[in-house]
Amino acid sequence: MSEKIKVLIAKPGLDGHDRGAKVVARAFRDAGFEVIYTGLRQTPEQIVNAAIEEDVDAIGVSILSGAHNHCFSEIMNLLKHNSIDDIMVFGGGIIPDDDVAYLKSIGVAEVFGPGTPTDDTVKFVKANVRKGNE
Amino acid sequence: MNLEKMKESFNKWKSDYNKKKDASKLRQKKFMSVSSYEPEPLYTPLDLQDFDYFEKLGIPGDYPFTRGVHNTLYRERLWTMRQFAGFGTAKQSNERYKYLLKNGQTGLSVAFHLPTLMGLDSDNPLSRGEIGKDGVAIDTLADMETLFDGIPLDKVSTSMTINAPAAILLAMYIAVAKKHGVAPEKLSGTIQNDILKEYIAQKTFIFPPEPSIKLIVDTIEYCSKHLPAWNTISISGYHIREAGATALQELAFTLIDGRTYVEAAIARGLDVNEFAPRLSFFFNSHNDFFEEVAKFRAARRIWAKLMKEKFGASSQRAQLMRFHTQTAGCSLTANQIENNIVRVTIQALAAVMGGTQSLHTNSMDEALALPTEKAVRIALRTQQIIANESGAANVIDPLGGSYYVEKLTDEMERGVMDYFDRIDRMGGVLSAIDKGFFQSEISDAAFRHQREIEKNERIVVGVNSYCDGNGEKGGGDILKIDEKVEREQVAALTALKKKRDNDKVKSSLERLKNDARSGANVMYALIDCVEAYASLGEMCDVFREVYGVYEEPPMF
Amino acid sequence: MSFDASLVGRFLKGDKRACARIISIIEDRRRGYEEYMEALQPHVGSAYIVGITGPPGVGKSTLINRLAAEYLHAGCSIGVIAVDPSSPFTGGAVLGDRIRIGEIALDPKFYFRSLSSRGSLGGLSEAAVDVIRVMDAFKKEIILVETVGTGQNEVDVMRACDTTVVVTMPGAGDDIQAQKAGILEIGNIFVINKADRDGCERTLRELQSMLMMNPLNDKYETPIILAKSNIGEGIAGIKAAVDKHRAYLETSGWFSVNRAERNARAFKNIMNLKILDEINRRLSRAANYEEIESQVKSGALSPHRASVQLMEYIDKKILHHSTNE
Repeated sequence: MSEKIKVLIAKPGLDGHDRGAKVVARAFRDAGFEVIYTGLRQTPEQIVNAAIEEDVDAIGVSILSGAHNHCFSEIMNLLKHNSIDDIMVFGGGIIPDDDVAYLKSIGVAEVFGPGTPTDDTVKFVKANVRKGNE
Repeated sequence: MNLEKMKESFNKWKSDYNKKKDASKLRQKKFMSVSSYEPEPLYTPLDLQDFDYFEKLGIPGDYPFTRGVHNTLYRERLWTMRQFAGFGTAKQSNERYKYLLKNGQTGLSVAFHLPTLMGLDSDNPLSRGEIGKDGVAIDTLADMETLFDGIPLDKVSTSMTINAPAAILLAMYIAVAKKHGVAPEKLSGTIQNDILKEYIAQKTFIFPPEPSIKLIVDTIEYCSKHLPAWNTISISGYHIREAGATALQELAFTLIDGRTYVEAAIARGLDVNEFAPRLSFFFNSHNDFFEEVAKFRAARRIWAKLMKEKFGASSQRAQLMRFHTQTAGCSLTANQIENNIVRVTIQALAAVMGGTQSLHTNSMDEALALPTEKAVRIALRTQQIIANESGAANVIDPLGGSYYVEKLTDEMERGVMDYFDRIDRMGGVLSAIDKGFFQSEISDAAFRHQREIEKNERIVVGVNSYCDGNGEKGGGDILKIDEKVEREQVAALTALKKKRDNDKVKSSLERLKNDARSGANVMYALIDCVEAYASLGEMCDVFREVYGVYEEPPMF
Repeated sequence: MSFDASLVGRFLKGDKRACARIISIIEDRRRGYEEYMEALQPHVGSAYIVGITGPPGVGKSTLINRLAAEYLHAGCSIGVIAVDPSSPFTGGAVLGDRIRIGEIALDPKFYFRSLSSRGSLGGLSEAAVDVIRVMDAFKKEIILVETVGTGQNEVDVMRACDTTVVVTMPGAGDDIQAQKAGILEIGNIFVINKADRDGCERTLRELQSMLMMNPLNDKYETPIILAKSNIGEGIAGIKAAVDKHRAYLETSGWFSVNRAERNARAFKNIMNLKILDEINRRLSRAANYEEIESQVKSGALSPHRASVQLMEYIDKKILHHSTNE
């Protein structure tokens, strides 16, 4: 049947810069994904809870406020705490190279900086997402 | 001018042009502006056949102000060079302000960190990881005292980028001035105080639209009585553009927001000739030079007509539009960041050609992080070079009369009127916000722009073209905020909350609640609260309880 | 993928992830999903289902969020299903209904699930009905089902609810008029949200006069509630009205009648879809199906004539044929 890839697009941080998150959400939609958009100012707890309830395959986090290290480590910790290993986490936003290395070391699959074509992001997720329970 | 001859030669040119076009000799299929507008290849007197000089332009300093709001423009006084700054603690920002003033900057501009913009104290769990990151952390009057320590508030003008809690920050500024011995009527500056664009684009809203507009009218009313030189609102297109809007959308949405505030103030019983001179605007300046210049010129003309014809403003001060401009942050690329200096130069020049009253030039590294001191200095020097070396400031509205610019100015005006009609048919701005109209218009434009870049229909140097493998990725020094800032800020707030007279805090907050409930002007109660060292979060909590909180409609 | 009994075991212990996974299986109509429905069947039937509908922009989501908080506060376990009919073109969808869930998102007694339209066996409403049953089995005492507007799909979803709340706002009169028929039929409670906006009085009068057209019922009068959901006003009133309607259904006997009808309708819908699917599958294998289709396309054969030919085929070859192909 029509089993789709489900992606949660989350926008943590207190800022309201959702242009990137929305552009990416639309690109995923147009590529046939089902996108759950969480809205602004989600805490890591809310993001992980939403990912569980909606049974998504991947979590995309868009963050521009500068709080990325704090936010991603919380998300990765919460996933680990819930013994979830079949949800891929990726990110986008203004994130300095040093921090990107750190984020990858804690299990973030990829970080897409400003100017990344949306197609690249979509292709990456399509290629790397693990459909759970098959 | 012999129009017949003009038509003849134009038609000859056009047929030659079309031959080349049909033979695919042109270097692109489509020629379009940053806003995906496709201009004609040539403009001539034929485009301005019914052009009435006095109706469309007038002389500078006169209705409809298309050519500018002063009769001398930059020959008497240059625009204010105002660099937006603020980061970390109040003390760090204070040092940056002193540095900028010493370097010839003439106005201060305060950026607040996100928790302050959202009405949250630094000790709120939601503030974690955000303290001092995008601006300065202000929790109480104590922070504000440090921020302006040693700065002569009667001499500088201060612009504060604050919206949902603008009334509170204004109250703090008034209280600091009082401690410096500066009377309120001596204060000059601006609070952004434009909540509508928050629902439309920037999204740092707290309360629902109706009570938020009520708070704005409170500040307008208070300032018209006590702070006559204060700009009560900076009606902003900047963020609308940053969220992905076209130049036309930026202009139309900003102007209709402005119209909404004027209607609300008039409904309060305020005199349009008294409050309107204190309204100001804030626009974005992007890469498409002519489109931007036309936008600025059209903005003044439309606003003047609106104020005179719709609201019956009789004084010129109430009809003319003054605006601040910032170069487009969204145009900066993380690749080959030095190229951004050039982009900023073009954008800044457009703002000057468009007759801006003040200007912020972005620093080249802002696509990566907060700007370094060196990058900030180059950005300021860019303005100084335009002002002193380019000759652009010698002549008033030097592009006036250009066939293209006049035509484009007219088209901007017509496009704005079309948007006004559509929004009015929806029941006005609030109703269009409810329906997600603005959000989906902007989201469509942003998505189209991104796809154009990805399909190589739009060239961005260093991003999808001219990538030479050298220095595509940023580099250089990037300013980072020490995590220590967070600990210090929270510790200071905790200590202050213990030390202050908490009975006084409680009773002043109680008064605030009563005033908010009864619909009285809350400025007086806010000044009370501020002086008792009640925190921003505590005051906003009172408003949250009385007014509720806003969540946006999902819209893609 | 085969039936996983341990998944059901975890589900029955209240594991959110297991519930989420079973909903996916059922929503996607993955092979063998019926077995899961069957395994949950003994646990279905105790939840009370409240449908909430209305046009976009009236503040439904905020209202649902507040109403859910009200129920949580009263100690109830709550499920919310947000049905989004958008985006049929590419097969993809963006579901944004979670945006307005506030702090209650993390309450362990709260479960929220978004549901999109999908082009699989059965439409949106069938999937929604089944997801309601899963949440029911997951021991949610109250299930709030949100839909937009009153298209056929949405009306079908609302028919699967015990009480239907229709939300509107001042100045939305035209929207109501346009949807009058559907709304009058399904609404048990009406809410005018954002009641501090201009035009509330008028909208109230319009609603009242529309409700007068309903057949008289001396046991239950359809209430109209004024609310300002952003500050929580009117929420307690809505909850009380739901309780009142529930009491009416239970004392009048309509409750069990409605539920029996609903079960029968679900059965009928499922059967219709399965029969249709099966016949189409077999029909497409008929020797001359493609030829008939191409004649219809070229205009050589009228669609009516073609249908008569194929019905004859169905009658002779499928229905009168013993079916072990």
